Amino acid sequence: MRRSSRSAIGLLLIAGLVAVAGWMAVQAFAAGTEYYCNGCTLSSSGVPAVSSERWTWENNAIGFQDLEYWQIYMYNANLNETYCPKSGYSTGSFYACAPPGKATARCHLLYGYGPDTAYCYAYYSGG
Amino acid sequence: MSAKMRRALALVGVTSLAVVGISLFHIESRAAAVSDPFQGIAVAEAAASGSADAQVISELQAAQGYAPGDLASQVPTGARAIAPTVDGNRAYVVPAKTGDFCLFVETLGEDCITPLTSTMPLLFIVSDPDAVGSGAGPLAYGLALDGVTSVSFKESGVTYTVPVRDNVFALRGPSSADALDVTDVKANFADGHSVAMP
Repeated sequence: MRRSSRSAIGLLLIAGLVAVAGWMAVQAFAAGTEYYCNGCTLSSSGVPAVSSERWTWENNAIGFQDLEYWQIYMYNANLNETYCPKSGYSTGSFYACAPPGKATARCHLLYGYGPDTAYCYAYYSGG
Repeated sequence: MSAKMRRALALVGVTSLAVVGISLFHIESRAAAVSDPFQGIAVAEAAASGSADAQVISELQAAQGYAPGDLASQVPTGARAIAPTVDGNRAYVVPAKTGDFCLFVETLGEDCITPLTSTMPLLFIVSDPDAVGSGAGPLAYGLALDGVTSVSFKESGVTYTVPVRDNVFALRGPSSADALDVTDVKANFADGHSVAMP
C-alpha cells in the first residue's frame, strides 16, 4: 500500500474516532425533558409508566385533566430502592428531587383510580 | 332597499346579536367559574396577587414549561405568597386559567387541584426527599378549607392528627415511615364532623 493511502486511512480513522467521541460527549452532557408517558393511559391496576434509565434526573412530574390519586417516584433496579416518592389526589404535581445514582422515573395511579390519560415527564441535566 | 333585502339584513343582525349574546354568556359563565379559585381558603384570599418574587415566578414558569397537563394552565404572575411556611419552606398559591389552583412550596414542588369544597376540603400531599424508609421521613402537607381545624391520617400503621393553622398543615413522619403507606385521610372540622378524603 502506498504511503499516501495509509495516511489517508489513518486520518479517516482519527476523524471517525473524534466524531464518535464528540457524539458520546454530547450524549453525556445533554439535558432535556423525557416525556415517558405522553398522553398514555395509566391503568387502575397500579402498573407504572417507566422512563429510560439515567444518572442525572432532577425532577419528576405528572398531570391529568381531572382529579386522580397518583404517585411519582424514582426507582433504582440494581439496589431495589425507591427514591423521591410523592403522592396525592390532585390534577398535577411537580417534584424537584434527584435520586442518587442511576434510576428510572416512574408514575402510576393508586387505590384503583383510573384508567386515565396522563402525562408524566422528568427533566435530566447534562452530566 | 327592497323589503327582501331589509328582511335579510334584519335576519343577519338578529343572528349576529344572538351569537354575540351566547358568546358573552359563555365568557361570563367561565369568568364566574374561574373568578376565585381560592374561595374558602382565607389565607389565600387575603394574600396579595402578584406577590411572588421574580425567582419564584421563574421556577413556576419552568415547571409550567414541562407540562402538557393542568400545570400548564397556571398563571405564574398571579402567584400569591402566603404567610405560613410548610416545614420551613415559603409557600405560594397560584391561580390557573381552568379555574383550578396550584400550591407551590419551595424545595417541595407544586401541586394543582380544583377549588376546595365542603366535600373535598383538602389538598393533601405526601413526599419523601430521599429513599423510602431511611433518611428524612416523609412530609405530609397541604391546604385545608376554612373551618378545618385538623387533618388525620394513618402512615405505616400509625394514626397522626395534625393541627391546621391559617389553612396550612404539615407533619414530617419518622425516618422509618413509608410514604407509600398513607391511608384514612380525614379533614376534621371545628363543629366536630369529619370528611374522609378519596
